[in-house]
Amino acid sequence: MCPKCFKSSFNKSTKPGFLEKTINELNNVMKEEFVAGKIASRHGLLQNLDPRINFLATLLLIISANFIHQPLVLLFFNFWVIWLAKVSLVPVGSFLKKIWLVVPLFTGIMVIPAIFSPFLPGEPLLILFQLPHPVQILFWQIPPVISITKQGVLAAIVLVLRVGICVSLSLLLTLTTKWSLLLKALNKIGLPDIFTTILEMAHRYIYLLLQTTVDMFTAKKSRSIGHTTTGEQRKFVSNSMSILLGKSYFISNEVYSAMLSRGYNGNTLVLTEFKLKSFDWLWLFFIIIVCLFFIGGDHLFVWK
Amino acid sequence: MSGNNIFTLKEISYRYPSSEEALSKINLEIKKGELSIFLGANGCGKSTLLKILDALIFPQEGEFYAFGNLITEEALSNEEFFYSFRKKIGFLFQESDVQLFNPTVWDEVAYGPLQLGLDKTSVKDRVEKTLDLLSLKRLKDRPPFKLSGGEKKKEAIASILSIEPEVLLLDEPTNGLDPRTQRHLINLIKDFHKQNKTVVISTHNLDLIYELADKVYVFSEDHKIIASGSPEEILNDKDLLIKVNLIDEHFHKHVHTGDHLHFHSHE
Amino acid sequence: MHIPDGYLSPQTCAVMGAVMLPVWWTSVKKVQNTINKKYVPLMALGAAFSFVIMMYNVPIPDGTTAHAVGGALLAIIFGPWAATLCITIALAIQALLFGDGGILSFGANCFNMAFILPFSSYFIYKLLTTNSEISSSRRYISGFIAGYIGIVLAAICAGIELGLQPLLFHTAAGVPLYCPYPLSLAVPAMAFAHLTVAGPVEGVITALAIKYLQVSNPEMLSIEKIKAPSKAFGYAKIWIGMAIVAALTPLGLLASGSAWGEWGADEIKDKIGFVPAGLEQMSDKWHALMQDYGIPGFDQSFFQSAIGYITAAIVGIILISLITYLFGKILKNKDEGIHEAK
Repeated sequence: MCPKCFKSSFNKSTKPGFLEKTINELNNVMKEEFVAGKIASRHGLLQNLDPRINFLATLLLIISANFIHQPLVLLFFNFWVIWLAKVSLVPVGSFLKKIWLVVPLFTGIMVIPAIFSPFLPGEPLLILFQLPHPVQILFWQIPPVISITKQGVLAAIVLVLRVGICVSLSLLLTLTTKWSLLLKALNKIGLPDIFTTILEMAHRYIYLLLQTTVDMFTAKKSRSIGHTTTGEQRKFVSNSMSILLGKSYFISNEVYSAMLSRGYNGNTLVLTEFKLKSFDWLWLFFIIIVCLFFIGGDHLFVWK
Repeated sequence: MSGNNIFTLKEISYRYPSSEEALSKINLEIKKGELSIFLGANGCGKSTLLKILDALIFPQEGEFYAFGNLITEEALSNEEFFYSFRKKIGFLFQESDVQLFNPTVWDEVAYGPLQLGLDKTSVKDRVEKTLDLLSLKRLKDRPPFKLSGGEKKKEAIASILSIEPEVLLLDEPTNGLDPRTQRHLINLIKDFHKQNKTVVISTHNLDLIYELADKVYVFSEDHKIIASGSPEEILNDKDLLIKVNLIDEHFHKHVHTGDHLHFHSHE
Repeated sequence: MHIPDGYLSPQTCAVMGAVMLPVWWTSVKKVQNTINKKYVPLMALGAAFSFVIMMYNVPIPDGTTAHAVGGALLAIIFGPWAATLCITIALAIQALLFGDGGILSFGANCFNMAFILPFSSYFIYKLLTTNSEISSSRRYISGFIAGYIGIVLAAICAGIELGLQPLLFHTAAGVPLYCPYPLSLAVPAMAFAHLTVAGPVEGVITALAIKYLQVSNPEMLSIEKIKAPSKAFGYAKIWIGMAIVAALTPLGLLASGSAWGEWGADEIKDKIGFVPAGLEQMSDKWHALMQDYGIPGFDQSFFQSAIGYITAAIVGIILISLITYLFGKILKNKDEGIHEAK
């Protein structure tokens, strides 16, 4: 289940809950974008990088993190990423909250069953109770000894730590790169012009559609009195989707006319200029060393 | 056909894809350097006519000539002609959001010159010049969704002025603007017009007529042009204006010292 | 069903990314050919729409809310290739610009949500609504079924991707390195969650949207049929591409060992010390026509093996193409059926 679905199943709500929830989430998106823009303008370490290098370095780090399996190494990696955040003038408190209140919540909870032997066989660390004989439910065979296993606990820790690293790195990239430059950076690295243009335009119009949705939902909320059934609510949501679809289609036709009017003839042209500084190359080199260091360290700790 | 005509329309009729009629047997000529206003209530077809002038849609009946050439879909499929046509006309859309489709203000103003084939340096020069003209320099890295309504309008105008067109087509330009921005816009149009450029504005805002127009075309609710003339002629023809649903019976003039006129209705 | 980074091994991510490359390439080409120059703003708005839809909270009976993807709706309205492109872009924006993660697992997520979902929904919808009027109730009922099955299939694929991890990537002591749940748990869990919650949500959303459009904006339901006069898509290019891939398959022989995931039972025994019971049963039953991809009696020298590989590739491609062609034929006939009925 996607993290959002999982999270929402803990929020019991009735009308107008679902309207409010969506409105709040959408407003949060717009707020986050504003905050991210501010952080990206600060003169921290990562902000100083050419966005192409920032992206490549982040990618290398994420890939390395996925080749590391020792919990201790993963833990150190996490600390290092937090240090990166600090040095890039990212507010560490809210950064930690955003990562470590969320990741353990959905990844952690998702992985808890794996600790127990019915889900993952392994060496018992703590025996919980014994059944007289194994129990078979469909594909699933429950062993007689139900325990918390060593393999399960290790797997859970490794997964949570690693997901933490990946999400932290991805968030750092978002926070320290001016969004308008990130896509252009990808374009310079090899993303075809056509994808870059569509990505940029899609991103720009997300905000328009978000606003349209908030307006629709807020209007509905102010008109709602009394109780509506979930059926009616569902109908409202899907009607909103259809309206949004129609509006999106209409806007796309108008945008096309606007593009045509200013000379669009099927060619997508992207005009960017990036200049690599020696700082960028140094950083890339440093990142490669860091990756090798962590991967190397991983191999040093051999565990059974 | 007079060589002085920028646009000539003969018996133009247009239907939407859903077969709804939008324009019926339109005839008019717009001369170089003229500022014309298409006046009419909402839904009368004036915006559609503007789009035909910019060859964004093509009429099912009639002939449309621009700069002496017959404009058809075929004619525009010739690349050279396409670019020379597009370079000459700037279109300001009613909703700024649809013509602000680039990530930042700078990108938006650069789009036209870039698409029309200018080299990188010339593009940069044009952008700087246009941003200065409209005092948008400090907003150049902003995305459109972080701008106010007035700023978006300025960005939209900048994006078409940077192609240095000879003709400006403006669709309901003053809709939703605050008074200061509206004034700024009107001044801009006047400056543009003074350079002997051609302007066509579609609007239902009567205030613009007296200040700006050389000629006014009045559209009826059944998609035809039922009158054309000077601003005074049209504004003094109260019956006409009521007939096309632009004013109601309480409409009257105020004349202020300072020599300008207000036209409006009271409840 | 977004799979975040860290659950899938880099190898799995790389493979899923590689699988998606030809899909993305084809979707760009297909969209360019059918909607011509208008496709840039249309895909951009479609992607923006897709992104925003994924954020809607849909109320479900127990008082909580769930999310839909909207992939079935997009595919039904704009066609499967356009839907692939739009959802891919929306997922890219989620990963890159909103720090939602999923940069490495991008290929896998696209495969599930931007390929399996729209394509299966589209084909099911087309199959069920042939010869029906735009305003008929069959349309939105088919929309429900299409959305439901589409997302369940996508979820099962995600379950397979996740479930394969502990099988293929673990320490010698049996600690799973990525997702810890094996196929026997991951697939049923994903399937169950989507059969009961996400499936009905996607289905209901799709159905209600179609129903609404039938009344308010029926032209939208036939956009897909409005195609700009298009130059015939160069199928020749695809054949050439496939021929090249077929010719390159013998290179696999040179790489020692077997491609991961394609081990025979004996090789699995070496790797993890035992043979999963299911695999043992299956390997006997499916006695592939061309065992080990070779032509029996013809696999002595490398050259002969190479010929065997190439032949197997060609036969495989012919079979797949035949089935695709037949599918296309069925749809085309049904389309023509509708035109004649009018």
